[in-house]
Amino acid sequence: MSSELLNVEDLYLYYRTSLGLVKAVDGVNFSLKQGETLAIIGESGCGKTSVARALIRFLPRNVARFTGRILLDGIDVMRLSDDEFDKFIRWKKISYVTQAAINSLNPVLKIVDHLIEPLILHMNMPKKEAIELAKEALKKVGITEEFLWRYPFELSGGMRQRVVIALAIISNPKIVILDEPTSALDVMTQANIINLLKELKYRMSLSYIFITHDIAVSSELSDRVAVMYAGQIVEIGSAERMYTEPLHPYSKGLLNSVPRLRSDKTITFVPGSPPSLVNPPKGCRFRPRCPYAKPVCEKDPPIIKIRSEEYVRCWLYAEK
Amino acid sequence: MSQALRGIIKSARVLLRYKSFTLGFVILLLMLALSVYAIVCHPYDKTIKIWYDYKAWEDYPKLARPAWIKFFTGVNELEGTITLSSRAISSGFVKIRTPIAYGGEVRGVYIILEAAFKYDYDTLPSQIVRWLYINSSKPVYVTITWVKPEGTNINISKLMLNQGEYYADLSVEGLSFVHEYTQYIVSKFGVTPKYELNGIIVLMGREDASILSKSTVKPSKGVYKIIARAETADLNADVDIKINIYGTLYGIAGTDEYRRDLFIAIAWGAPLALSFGLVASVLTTLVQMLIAAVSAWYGGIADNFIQRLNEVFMVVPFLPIVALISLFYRLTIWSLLAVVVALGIWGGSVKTFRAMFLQIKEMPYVEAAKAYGSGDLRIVVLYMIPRVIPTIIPTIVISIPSYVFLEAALALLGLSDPTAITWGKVLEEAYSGAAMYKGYYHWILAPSIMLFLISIAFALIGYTLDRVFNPRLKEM
Amino acid sequence: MTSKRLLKFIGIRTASVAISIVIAILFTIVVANLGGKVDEIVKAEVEFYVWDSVNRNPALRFLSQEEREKLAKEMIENILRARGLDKPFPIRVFIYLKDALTLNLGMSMHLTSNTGSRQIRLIIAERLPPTILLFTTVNLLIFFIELFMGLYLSRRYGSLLDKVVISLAPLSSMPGWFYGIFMILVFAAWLKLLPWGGMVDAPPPEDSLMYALSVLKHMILPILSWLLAYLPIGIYNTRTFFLLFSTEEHVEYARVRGVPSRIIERRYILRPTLPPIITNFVLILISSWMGAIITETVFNWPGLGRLLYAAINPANPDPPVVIGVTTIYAYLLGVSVIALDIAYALIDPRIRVEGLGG
Repeated sequence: MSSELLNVEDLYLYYRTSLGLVKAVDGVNFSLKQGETLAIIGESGCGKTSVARALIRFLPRNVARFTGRILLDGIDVMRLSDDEFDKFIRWKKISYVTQAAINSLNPVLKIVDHLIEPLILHMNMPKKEAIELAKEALKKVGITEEFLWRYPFELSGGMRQRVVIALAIISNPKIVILDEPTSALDVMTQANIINLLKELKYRMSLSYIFITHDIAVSSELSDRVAVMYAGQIVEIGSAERMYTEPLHPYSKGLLNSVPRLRSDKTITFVPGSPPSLVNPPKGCRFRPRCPYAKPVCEKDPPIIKIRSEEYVRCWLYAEK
Repeated sequence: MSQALRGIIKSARVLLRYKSFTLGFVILLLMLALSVYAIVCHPYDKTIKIWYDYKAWEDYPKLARPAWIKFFTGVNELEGTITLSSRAISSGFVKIRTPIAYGGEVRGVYIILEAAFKYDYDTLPSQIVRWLYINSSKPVYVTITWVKPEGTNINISKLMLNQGEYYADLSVEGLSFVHEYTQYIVSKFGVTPKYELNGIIVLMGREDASILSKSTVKPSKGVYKIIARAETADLNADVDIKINIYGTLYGIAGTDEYRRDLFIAIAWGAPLALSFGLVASVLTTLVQMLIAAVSAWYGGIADNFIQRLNEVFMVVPFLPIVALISLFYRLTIWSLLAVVVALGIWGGSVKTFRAMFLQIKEMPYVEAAKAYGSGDLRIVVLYMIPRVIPTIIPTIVISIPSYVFLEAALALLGLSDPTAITWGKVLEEAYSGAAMYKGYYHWILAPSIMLFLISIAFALIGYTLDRVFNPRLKEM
Repeated sequence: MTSKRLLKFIGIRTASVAISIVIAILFTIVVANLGGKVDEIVKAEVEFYVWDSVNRNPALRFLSQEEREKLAKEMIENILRARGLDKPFPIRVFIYLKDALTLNLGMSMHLTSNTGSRQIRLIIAERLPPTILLFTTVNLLIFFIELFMGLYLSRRYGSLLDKVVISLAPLSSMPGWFYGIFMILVFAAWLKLLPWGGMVDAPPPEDSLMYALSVLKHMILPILSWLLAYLPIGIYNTRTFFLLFSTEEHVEYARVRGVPSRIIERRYILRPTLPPIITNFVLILISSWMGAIITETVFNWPGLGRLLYAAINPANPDPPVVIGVTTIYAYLLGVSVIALDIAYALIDPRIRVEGLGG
């Protein structure tokens, strides 16, 4: 599809640990269109952060398997060497907003130094020019210029989060991966940040991959939603459909566990806890907790295509 | 209880997988074995007494090297001492008394003491020494003749002695019989030896051209005879003689300048080092933790006071103060330990622990304990300190060597317990005896190697413990 | 605004450290004096001085022995009273304290400087430079090597070099002087390559270049022993420290952004950690100026440590020297603590703006 910006096919990421082989990303497929926001949601430990890290190639030392195809603008990014990735992709096409931005800034560097660094290092920009861009970036995220010359600890948590966003957009990337950008913030600040993100997306034609366990937050921003469970995407679809008509039993459980303000729906929750990624259950991984489990579920469920760019991985829909 | 035991066994199994831990553990077991040996075979009080009783070591060679060296040098040296004593039941002198009679009257008594020994070694002995024990109311005329295997007779002594005990070192230069013998050599070979002969060479050197140069002197192998003749007018007089021919090797660790078997010091050093190091390390850390915990928990004035106190003591220089205390007050090894702990608890560790405890203080289970009315001290001792103990066990183990060396350092400075038989004390004596310059390396190496082994052992064990149990490192 | 806060901060720290110094010296004097030894020494000094002057005074020669004794006794009492030494214990202690704090360190009992003077101030002034020379060199070497190696190794966690260095850490369980003994045995006694000890050849070379080279030659073994003893653990600690620090959020985030490792090391790891690292180093340096007593003794190095060794010799102690050295040391440490706190405040932006929390 020509308007597809990013295409992830058969992505695998395994780690070697003292407990065994952790299958953090176990065959993940999804795509991202230009200007789209894809939310990846799931419980902690389902592998969503690993997907994010795989995309920006930020891997630990104990990687056991890292295979797949990541097509960005037609180029398979996985084939690039580390140097090439750093030169062409990292922070140029794809950037990353980290979890807990509060601690992500260097305490002994001023804000301006943080912002001009990628410009000077990656683009060889002269310092004066870089500072101008830094001022613009700060303006875009809604922070006044005077804070350019302050240290991180002089800014509030919300402001620091904005600085991190500014850092992510300063090099004009195409895709911004946001890993739980609002988890550490209070509700008011959360709302502000979400609004900022919306505005930036519009102004700069960005595409977002938004990773969170907070379903409510993701519903604000996302065009499409992918639900991850035990290292796999079990359902992916438009935000509209997902929030009204989730198909996968897990998605149903997840989305039904969020209390809704204007509805009388009873809240359910998904009993049990997610499986360890070291030894996921054979067949459908959700089977032990699934209220609809059938004997056939002992076999790996097929990927059932619902619409273009929407699928669900469940035996319940196999007949159709 | 069995839960804890199972935990320990599981940990032990994990630890033993590491070569470093096993090595350290084996060395530790060796030290423990030495300690048991020392305590059982050489009970402390008795050992201390003979350690400082120089007479008890009379028959041991001075500054002998360890006996097992002969396996490496291939040279057959005299091990121990050849003791010939007329007072001993066996292998000594044969005493024959003959009355001296003339004019039909018994005027005195003639005592002849004769001994023989075989010498087959490749090197000369380190010393030859003789004692004469005269028990007589009248003067006794004594002559001693030494017969070498070649047949040469040497008149060692011609003395007129009264009641008493007489000691002579026959090994040195300048004695009259040495002089005479040198003349004899000159006349025999027509050449003057290029060096000054001493008693040992005279009495036991091989009488051929090799005796002319100090570097080629060899012992004369064969049977030696010693004949002592005493005559006195006192009919009831008795004369005894003891001759010691000291070797150059002895035992497992050799001997020191005072002829003491160094192995006893090596053995006793082990339990003393182990107990001092362990007690000092554990006590210091526990007190540090207690102070830090109290400081963190009570906060406010108490915290401030303790912090300032800590700063004061940090400025006080440790070693000079310990030196001063030791100078002016008599210290036993245990009072030394008390001083070391009292001064050593202050420092950066209290600050580090305090930071840890400040974190623990905020933890929910501590708050819960306070909420249901647990007393302050109870919380500190039962909740906060046990939380920290697993992390500091490696530190305690790793610090043990530094306390062992502290005691050794203080001993070297002459500040430790003067009666304690520690490795540090042996080192100090070796140093005073200029062992390094005079080439008595075994005297320095024996305690040094033990100190080395015990530190390596605890360091290996401690670092393995750290690697296995340190939670922060585990995250890597 | 900031400078006022800074001044207040300096003031508080100076006062606090000053109190610590005073208490530390007081403590030393009390310990020394509890046995009454220092009083004896001072009294003996006074008595000697008086007798000496009485016997030498030609004007008094005509007096009988008895009369001279009486006169001497009177003079002694007068002097003691003038110096306050006939007063009770606490007051005497404070007099000694005042003396010590004003660096009026008095005379030694028997130790002398090279020029024959028994003035403790001179003796210490003579012994301080060799100690500073040797131990500053050693500590600087150790500091830079462990910093460089620690950083280098923290990037290569799990590599062969890393494993080798970790396994060597137990070497540091033994102190420098212990290695010193072995160094001498090997290099001086056996190989005869390097000198047994001392600071310079005897007789010392006249030419200053040869003199300097001779001193360097004598520094090799002590430095080597300390490197063997303290580098392994130093490298292990800095490597572990940097390793743990590099898992800090901002370091990881810098890596995500593709900041090259050189720059990460410099800006993200070193810059934030340098203040405490340097503080630690300076403190270690100052305490090493105490002149590791045994190291200097083993190598016969003519520094402060060797002086202390001679002064604490149980057969012939010289307590005034010990007290004098302790006082100097307390001052040195106190002053450097204050200097460090001030430097820290100036460097770390957090403290500069917020002020010390406590």
